[in-house]
Amino acid sequence: MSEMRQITYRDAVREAMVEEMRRDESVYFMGEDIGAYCGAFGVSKKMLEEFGPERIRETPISETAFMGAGVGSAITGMRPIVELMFSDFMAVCYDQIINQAAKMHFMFAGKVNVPMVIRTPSGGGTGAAAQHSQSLEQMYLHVPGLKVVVPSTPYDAKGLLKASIRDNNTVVFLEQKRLYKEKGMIPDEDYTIPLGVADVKREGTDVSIITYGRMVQMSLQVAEKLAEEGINAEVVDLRTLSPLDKDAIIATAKKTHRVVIVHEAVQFGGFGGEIAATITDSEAFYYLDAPIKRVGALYCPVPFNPVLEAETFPTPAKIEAAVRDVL
Amino acid sequence: MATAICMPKNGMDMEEGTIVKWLKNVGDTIEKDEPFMEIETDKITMETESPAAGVLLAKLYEDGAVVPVLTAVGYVGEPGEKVPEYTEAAVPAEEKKEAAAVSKKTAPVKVLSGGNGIPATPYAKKIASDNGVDLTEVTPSGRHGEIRAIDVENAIHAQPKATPLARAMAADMGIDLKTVTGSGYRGKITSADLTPEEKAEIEAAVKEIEEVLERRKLSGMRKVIAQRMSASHTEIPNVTQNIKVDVTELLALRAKINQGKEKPDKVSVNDLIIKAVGKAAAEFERFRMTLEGNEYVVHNQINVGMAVGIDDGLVVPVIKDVDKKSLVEVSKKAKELAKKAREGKLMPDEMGDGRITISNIGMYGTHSFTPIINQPEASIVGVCGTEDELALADGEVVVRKKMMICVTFDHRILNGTEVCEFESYLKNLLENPVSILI
Repeated sequence: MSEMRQITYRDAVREAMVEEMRRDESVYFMGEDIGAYCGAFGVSKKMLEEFGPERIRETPISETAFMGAGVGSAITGMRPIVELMFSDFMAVCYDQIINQAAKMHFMFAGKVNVPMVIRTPSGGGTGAAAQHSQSLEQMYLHVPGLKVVVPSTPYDAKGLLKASIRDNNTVVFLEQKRLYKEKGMIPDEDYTIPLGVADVKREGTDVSIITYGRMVQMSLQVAEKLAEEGINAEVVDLRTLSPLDKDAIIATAKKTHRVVIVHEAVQFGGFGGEIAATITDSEAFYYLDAPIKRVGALYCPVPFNPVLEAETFPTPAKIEAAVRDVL
Repeated sequence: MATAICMPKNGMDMEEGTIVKWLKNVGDTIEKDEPFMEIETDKITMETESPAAGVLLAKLYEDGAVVPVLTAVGYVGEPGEKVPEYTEAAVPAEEKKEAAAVSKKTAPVKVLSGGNGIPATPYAKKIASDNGVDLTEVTPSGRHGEIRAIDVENAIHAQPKATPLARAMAADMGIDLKTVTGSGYRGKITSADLTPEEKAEIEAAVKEIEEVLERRKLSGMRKVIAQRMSASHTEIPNVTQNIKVDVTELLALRAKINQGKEKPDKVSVNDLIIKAVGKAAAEFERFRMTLEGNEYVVHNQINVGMAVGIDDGLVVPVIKDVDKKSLVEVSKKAKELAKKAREGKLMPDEMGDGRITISNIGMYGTHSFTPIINQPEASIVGVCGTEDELALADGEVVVRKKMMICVTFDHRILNGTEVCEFESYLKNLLENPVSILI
């Protein structure tokens, strides 16, 4: 039994990067303010001291330029970790991601790989307003050629990031900025978590809450509250949205006959629709005993006012109401 | 190669047809375009023509069968030609395509039970289907009036215990399981309980095997016997009167007559009785009478029938004009007719026109019985076995041979006293047997 220790989500991300950079010289880190400033959320603390400016490369404020540099270095043998300060900024470098990184392997007949990890803080809840609070995973998920990971715990963040760095495809690693300070237990030794494997965070029998990212913790809270009434909710953390663990989704739907899907992204056109369709397209359809309910953000830009902001996102009360609706 | 002959598709909306009647048997020759069966659709009855010439090799369906269109119902080909086992094999490709299009449109899709417009969750429908629960019988508890799994589960538990098959069958047959008595483990209802007729049939079949050794169809003769016996017994108000006859002298006379004779020429007691009965019938005209509507018909001829038991039957050959025949002639005729009867060679005229019948079962030692009149005769004389009886003669105890004569008569024709007189006369003849010969 290995020793476990408690660290924050932010530290887990850094440990993954540091360990991988120590292990593999082709891994380097690039982004805005990641050196002396340690990144907008302090993730890359002391990394400049250890690895120096050659491997901790600070960039000008041009997402297109450094994302393009990342793609270029990846196809020539490096394994870049590129940090987008806010996932919302993907819009600035979207061409490099969807038309270059996601396509090259296929357009060059498999002779080229783009083993790049795009790390970026995602989601709201920090009072950062409409341009710094979005959950845009769906914009990546619709593009074949990209893997999309959304870790919900320090343990998952470290294991999944290490697996992402070692993966030969471009992985969009959507960190949850509201979780950076959340603590969790991780083992001392080296470990990875395979991409494409969901994790049942709580076993249950009466209803399945299928979720990912920041909403996992919120769903678990709701489950604990409902448990006091004898309602036994299962909480499934997808962890990786692409590749998607369809088997886990189908299995939980067949098990509990009732499904609530929760994500922080805007509900309309969100990934919840894909999850629901995965269920209804499968034999799990015949096991449904209630309509599938989705809980996502309101269809509006995230307000700056913190009271309004909180109301646009899923809340424990909204999740609980959705669960009660299907019971 | 054998050509399949199919149920035709007459019109776009025809999906199946009924074979009203095959016009050909297997082995019959069929010309091309010759009608080979008569079919019926929901609209018309018509004949179907053969697409090829040859002989009918096989019929795949019997008269009355309902057959989907373009399905082979039989095969035409050269005599002795093999018929494909797979019945669709020879359907022309084009027609098959058409049939496929039709079946695609109309093929019954497996519909989950009660899915027709009843709001129910997929899981509720699934478990209802798995358990043969009719959703129309389930009370919904859903917020929007929909049936949920728990409602179906409640319905299953509310119902009597039954196998899934029994539930499905009950739903199909519209049977309420509560009205069915289960015969399975702890009263569980099984499919057999839903088909009491079938169950009874099975039980009857088992009983039959256990209890019945064999079932035999009535032969034509047996049918006639049964019908005539029952007619006689129900139509005639019959009475039987018995009289005891001392046949010691009769037996002695017979012995004398037969002395030195070879077996085929020997005279039997029965021959003497035939002769005696003929004499009595000649004396008492009412014993030669028949009843025809409002008339009594008195017959002239003294024709005496004798019942002969044969394998699986009974016949009554008739000796005509007994009064005009000598004892030897009667004996000869009786032997001849009995032989013919046993060989089944009696001609109809040898069994007709009897006026009185003798039924002799004396060889079995029977004491007395009630013979049944052979219609339209007025009476029948039953002859029983001889028995030793002690009697006093000149103060000495002697053994006498006694025999019962049992006359059954039609009380519409004869009265009891008349029969008494007849019996006394007959008794007198038999006890003084020389008078039979005179």
